[in-house]
Amino acid sequence: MTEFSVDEKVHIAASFLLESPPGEVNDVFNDIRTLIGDDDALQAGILTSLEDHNTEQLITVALPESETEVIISKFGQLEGGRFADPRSKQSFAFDHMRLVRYTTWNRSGNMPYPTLRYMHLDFAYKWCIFRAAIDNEVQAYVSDHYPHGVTTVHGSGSKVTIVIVDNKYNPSNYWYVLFFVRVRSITSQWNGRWRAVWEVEKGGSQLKGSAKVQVHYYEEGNVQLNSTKDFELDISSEQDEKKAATSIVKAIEKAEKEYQMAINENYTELSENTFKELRRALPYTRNKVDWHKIFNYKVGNSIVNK
Amino acid sequence: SDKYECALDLMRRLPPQNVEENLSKLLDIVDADLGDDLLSAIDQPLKVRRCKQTGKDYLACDYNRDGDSYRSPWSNEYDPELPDGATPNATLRKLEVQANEAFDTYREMYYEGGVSSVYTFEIEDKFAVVVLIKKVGEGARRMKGAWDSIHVFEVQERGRNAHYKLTSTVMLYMITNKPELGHFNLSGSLTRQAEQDCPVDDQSAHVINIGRMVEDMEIKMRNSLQEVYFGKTKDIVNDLRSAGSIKEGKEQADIQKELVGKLMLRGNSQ
Repeated sequence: MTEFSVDEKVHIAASFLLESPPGEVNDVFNDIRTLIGDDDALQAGILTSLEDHNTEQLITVALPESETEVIISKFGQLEGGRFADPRSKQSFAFDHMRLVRYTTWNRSGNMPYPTLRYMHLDFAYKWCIFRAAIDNEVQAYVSDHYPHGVTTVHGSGSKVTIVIVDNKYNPSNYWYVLFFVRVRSITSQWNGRWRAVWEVEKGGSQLKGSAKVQVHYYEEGNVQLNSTKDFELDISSEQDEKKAATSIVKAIEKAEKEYQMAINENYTELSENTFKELRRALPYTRNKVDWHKIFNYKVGNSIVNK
Repeated sequence: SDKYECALDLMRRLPPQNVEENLSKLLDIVDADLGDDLLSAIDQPLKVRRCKQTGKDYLACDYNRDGDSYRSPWSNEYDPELPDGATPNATLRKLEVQANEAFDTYREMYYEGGVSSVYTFEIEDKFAVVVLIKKVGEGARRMKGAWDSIHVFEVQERGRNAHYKLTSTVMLYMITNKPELGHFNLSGSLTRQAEQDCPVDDQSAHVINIGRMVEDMEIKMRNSLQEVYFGKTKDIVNDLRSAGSIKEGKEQADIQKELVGKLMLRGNSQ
């Protein structure tokens, strides 16, 4: 059996981070940390994966001087590992490593929130009327349809990218330390995340998007939903920024609503058809099996036939 | 043991959709001993093989594996051939044969298809019985599904009774691909345990006791799977996004509260 070097093992472990379910990257990291057993090598090799994880999973951050949170994504990436928040006109440096904790003796057990190492308040990001118009409409839409939603709208040239994320972590999922014994609350364990990214050109007639829904249920098991859909919608081309923003967000709402309906309908179909076809609730006799009969008939027959 | 717990925890978090790939990666980063423990502890979807001697299908897992060969419960032979491959002793083999016959019928009655296999082996003063069932759906209406049952019994005979310890895992995979839905994958597993003491009066007792426990367990788990897969995860999706307007929903709820309040007042004053 090929023996892998520590660096190769770290590389493999890093790929696990990318697959962490919503809100559990800290848990996955702690597992990997114990399995690798080499903190220095791990720290060196894990940074890129953490960055990828955060930008892909649309981790959110609260900035001072801003009422709303901002989403970390590749659309807002700037030089030198900094990110932009167009709404508050700030850029900030983000320490991806802070997402995972090195100390196990930490009292506050809530899902680790990424923290900022430092932050610049200078205006480093270009903004435009089109982006701002869309931002206003999207914020209203998100607050009316995503109970814990966060949205960030980026503008680059004539292209606007809308990023939406909503997370739900089971509130009773706490780690807490009691007399140096790590205890975990075992009530109902689950987490979920809904991500959507939409792109449109100013004056354009096409709206492209994708939605990704993940749910992880892990009480006495491991059940995960992974649902993704790509969208390509035709919209009426508008020059007036406000009109364009309204029609774009309307189209987004319609598409996302239909997608959600399709998910719900699929659940019903799976439950009523596909699931039943796999295993009946009861045999056609409508009674449980008579094991004595089975034994005497089937087993008895085989012995006779031999 | 710390590493073992972490490995198990990790596998409970990584997507069950990729369990085989992830287990393989995990084995690359742990040492051989831990690797062996993990291989028998972590459930993977069962593979179907064809028995060369009888032409019947059987299920392959860690319990009927010796090296790279798998033992058919029908012929008791290994494939690829293994003249010294581990086989159950005569008594256990007899029980194994009976159980396979009985569960073949059980499987047909509940699954109307699929494949089942039962394996036995000694563990010191006890013995183990492993009941496996796999059913793959037809794939109608662009919805694919697969069900894998793994029931592991530890049996301790005590005179005319036996103590049965059961650990059951059911893996359920449901995949839908439709234009209006994109790609939808709802997969995973649930695990439960049970313990029971039953009389063992005659030949048939073990098969019948085990049969009943498996049946009861599968009924319970089928209900749990239904609740979790099509109830709980669906609820969470609809918690993440509200199809209707949240504002309008709140307004309606407020109106209702007001109405209920007024009705109660009226009721109290009458």
